[in-house]
Amino acid sequence: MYKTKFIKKLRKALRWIFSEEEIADILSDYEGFFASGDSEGKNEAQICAELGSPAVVAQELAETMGRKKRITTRIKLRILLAAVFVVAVIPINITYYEGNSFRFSIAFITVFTVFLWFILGGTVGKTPSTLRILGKNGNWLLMAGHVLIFAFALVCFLWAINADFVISDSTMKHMDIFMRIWVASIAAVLCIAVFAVFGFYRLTPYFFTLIIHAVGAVVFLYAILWIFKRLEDAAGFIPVMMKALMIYGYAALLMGLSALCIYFIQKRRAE
Amino acid sequence: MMEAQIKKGILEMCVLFAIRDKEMYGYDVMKAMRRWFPEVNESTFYAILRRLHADGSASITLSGESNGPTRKYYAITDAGREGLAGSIESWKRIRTVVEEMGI
Repeated sequence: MYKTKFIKKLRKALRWIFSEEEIADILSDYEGFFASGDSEGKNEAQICAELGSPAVVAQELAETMGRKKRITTRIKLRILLAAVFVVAVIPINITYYEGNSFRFSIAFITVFTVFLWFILGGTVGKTPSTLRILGKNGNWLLMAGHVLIFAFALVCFLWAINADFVISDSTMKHMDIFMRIWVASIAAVLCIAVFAVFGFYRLTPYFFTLIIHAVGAVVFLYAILWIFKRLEDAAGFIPVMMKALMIYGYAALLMGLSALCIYFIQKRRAE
Repeated sequence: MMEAQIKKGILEMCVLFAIRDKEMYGYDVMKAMRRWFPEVNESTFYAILRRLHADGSASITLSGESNGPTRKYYAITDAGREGLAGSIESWKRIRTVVEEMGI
């Protein structure tokens, strides 16, 4: 109990200061210390008292290693993707309210979410700490989980294909629905670009993760493209796209500006 | 500020000295140091060990103990030996000066 709490607190305290690899390394050291203390007949409470509080450990490490709290590139990337995700997915949620079948929207959300999950999952699933939490059969558990979610999304996608997608007159008047969907699509393309730069090209020994994420991304990209093909057949394509691009450009400008602000604040703080 | 720096420098010298002759498991280094410096937090020594490894003064050998997590054994490197000789030198110089001043 003490040990679990200690490790959890330590992980929290180290975040923002060290990279995930370093954190995994430090945590494994401390788990080793607990094991060593245990083999000397000390209980977890005693060991905790000797090791000091997690906050002190983190502070000591940061000072001695000359580190300051920082937002790592990976976290920045996640924040960016999360922002894109929020911009993209929340409006999709609303799309079902006029004309579109509820079923279609649900499937769309699922496909898009899983698509993003495949992009983001690549960084989460391959960390050694995740594997350690899952235990000895971690790799198999991860694989089974992937296959399960993959299958679920595929079923949803097939379900969507068979749904009646209705574009009513009132939907045509509410062109903003399409704009929102276009926002989502451009966001998805953006995600893929980011993924291509930061995800695919990073060599990793976890080939399974890499391959399933690559396949997953391609499949779900196809799913999204297919859904847009249907939208394209149903409504005026170019004008909607132009409007959407303008809106998205504005949103991107805002996001870019805020990202720049964050960057400079961080830089100044680090100096 | 100065006090903290002096302390850190001295502790670092002591940790390097501890692993000078034989490689030591990190936990054992921390335990040995607690005997000498009971008022210093153990995490200080852990941080020092990590730093020594990061700047190349100490090397790490991993060893898998029976069904436990891998243990890191720290050993001094040539660069570490040089650094240690330097710190011992300046430590002795400071000590002589302080003694000569009659403190």
